Amino acid sequence: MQTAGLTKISDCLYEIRTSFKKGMRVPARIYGSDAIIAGMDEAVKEQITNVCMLPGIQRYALCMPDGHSGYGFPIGGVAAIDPSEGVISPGGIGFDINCGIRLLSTSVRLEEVEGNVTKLIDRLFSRIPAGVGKDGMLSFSKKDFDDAMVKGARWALERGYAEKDDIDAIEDGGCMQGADPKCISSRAYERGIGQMGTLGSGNHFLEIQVAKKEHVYDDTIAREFGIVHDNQIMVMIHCGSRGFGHQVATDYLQKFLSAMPKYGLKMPDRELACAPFDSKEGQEYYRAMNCAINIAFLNRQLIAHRVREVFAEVFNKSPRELGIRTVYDVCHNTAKLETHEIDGKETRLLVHRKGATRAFPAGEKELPPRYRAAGQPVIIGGSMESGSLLLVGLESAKDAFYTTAHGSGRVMSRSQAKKQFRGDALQKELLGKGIYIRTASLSGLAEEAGAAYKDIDEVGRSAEMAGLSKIIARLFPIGNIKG
Amino acid sequence: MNTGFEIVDGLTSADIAVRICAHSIEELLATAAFAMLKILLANPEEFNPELKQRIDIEAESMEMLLYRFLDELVFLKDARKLLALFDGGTIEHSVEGYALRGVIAVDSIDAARHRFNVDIKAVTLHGLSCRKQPDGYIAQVVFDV
Repeated sequence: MQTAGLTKISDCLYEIRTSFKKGMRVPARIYGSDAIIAGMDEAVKEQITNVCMLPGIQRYALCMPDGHSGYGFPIGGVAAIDPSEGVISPGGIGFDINCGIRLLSTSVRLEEVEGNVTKLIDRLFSRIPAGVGKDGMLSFSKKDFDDAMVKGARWALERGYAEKDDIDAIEDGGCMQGADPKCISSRAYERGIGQMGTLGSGNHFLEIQVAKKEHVYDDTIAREFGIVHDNQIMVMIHCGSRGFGHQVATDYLQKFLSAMPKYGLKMPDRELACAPFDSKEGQEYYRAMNCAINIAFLNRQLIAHRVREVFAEVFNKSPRELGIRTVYDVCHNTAKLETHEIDGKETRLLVHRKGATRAFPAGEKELPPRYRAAGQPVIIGGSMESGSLLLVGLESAKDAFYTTAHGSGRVMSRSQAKKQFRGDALQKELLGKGIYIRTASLSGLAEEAGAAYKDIDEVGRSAEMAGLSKIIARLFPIGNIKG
Repeated sequence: MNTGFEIVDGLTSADIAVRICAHSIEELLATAAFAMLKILLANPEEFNPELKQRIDIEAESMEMLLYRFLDELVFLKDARKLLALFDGGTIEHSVEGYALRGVIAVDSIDAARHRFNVDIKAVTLHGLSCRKQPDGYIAQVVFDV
């Protein structure tokens, strides 16, 4: 990204003033080191300044260090909107509603897994549906699916697919209030009902990782987050609400486009279609989006349950003996009603985060009791080559509505990556580095090559230098399944 | 005009953009469906349609007709586990917009036969266009993958 139009506020924060473009109600702010900003695509500037035009937006439109261009909002985009006078925009949430990451800790050590990685990954690959056209793990009646939309991960708890401890470690307890299945189209039902407990494809993955002592940067907080010994095996699950969430977004994007003239709303990009939060359309989308958030929570929970089963089979021990515990489950693509300080007053805001992670600091009452002293665990998923980061939320992220990065962020398009890499060669190369990969698509694997993404350490450093979150540990991949 | 489709770089980093050229709107829909199949399948030659079914789409503009047609194919893939190609039809144009009365040829997704490159999860409005040219039509569409 060229720096024209950007004003450097601090080492990892740039601002675009409202004079940049007609119609901006607030300035835009982009987080990132000089290297991150230089590597960001130019379209981010255009898109984040378009976000500044949303009615009701407060303070700034933000872009996180892993930002890159998307549709309407950039990926990594954040907009906090006053719901009493402002709008809700499906483009600020994304198609894959509540795409997110769950991290599981185990008491298994690397030494116990060595020799079993292939077996473990092969078994996970055969037991967790991944790729296109795969049936879900469970059959749902319409009534069950309605119930799941309202209860989210708690639906799994009622039926023995979760432990109470899991539910406590999911954002919003794995269940968003205000979900109403009456706001869901028959098309969304049909797309979603057969996909529960599936990983999907694209950048979604399930990864076995190792936490190494020399890459734990805050031992006290790492312990709070379940990293208690060297070479500890962790499991990371990245997926979302599957076709269900995509259909909800598609349905309401079109409804909003039709409704905008009625409300006198005009935006420079159709993917920024919006409706007043308090309008019939706005409220219906909010309720439908909450259904999709809950479906994604349940999807990750079912996959986590299957991980427990597979580990138990491979190690011939119970999940309890293997110490498999949810560290945390974060959402990436949501709009949530939260209280933040605006001009010294506690204000209810609708915070849109698209490819961005909520990161509450220590003391926040919405955090589960076990994390109130340390702060919220934040999980930044990297590529299958680079590994991932575990961080903690900080009070200094207040100006960012307590938000941080969510992943590495792409720097290379899928077609460029496919020209540069071959899936089979990459799979072999990674095996040589001790990372065993099973994939439903070698071509899809090439598109997810590590070089197609930003340097995750630079993203993490930027987030830390900007005060958005603090790095606690780096996690290294040893096995991965991809759709 | 050279008809067909090509992948467009530079319009999206995380997803796939396609430009389609055709002599008629019917051909445009057929080419767009073929582009989608080629993006999805590593072995599109394994598309063996077993059935035909009706497809009726209405839209206020040509580009929204293209959008809704492709969205229907995404829906069929996920909800009915069907891959589809356009198999003919007519497009009526009136003051209210465009109406497709057509037929698609469908093949059930078969893990033993079909090898997938990627999934197409949604059709987006990002950069969506469909313009009449002196010698045909040019459209652009971005698929969320």
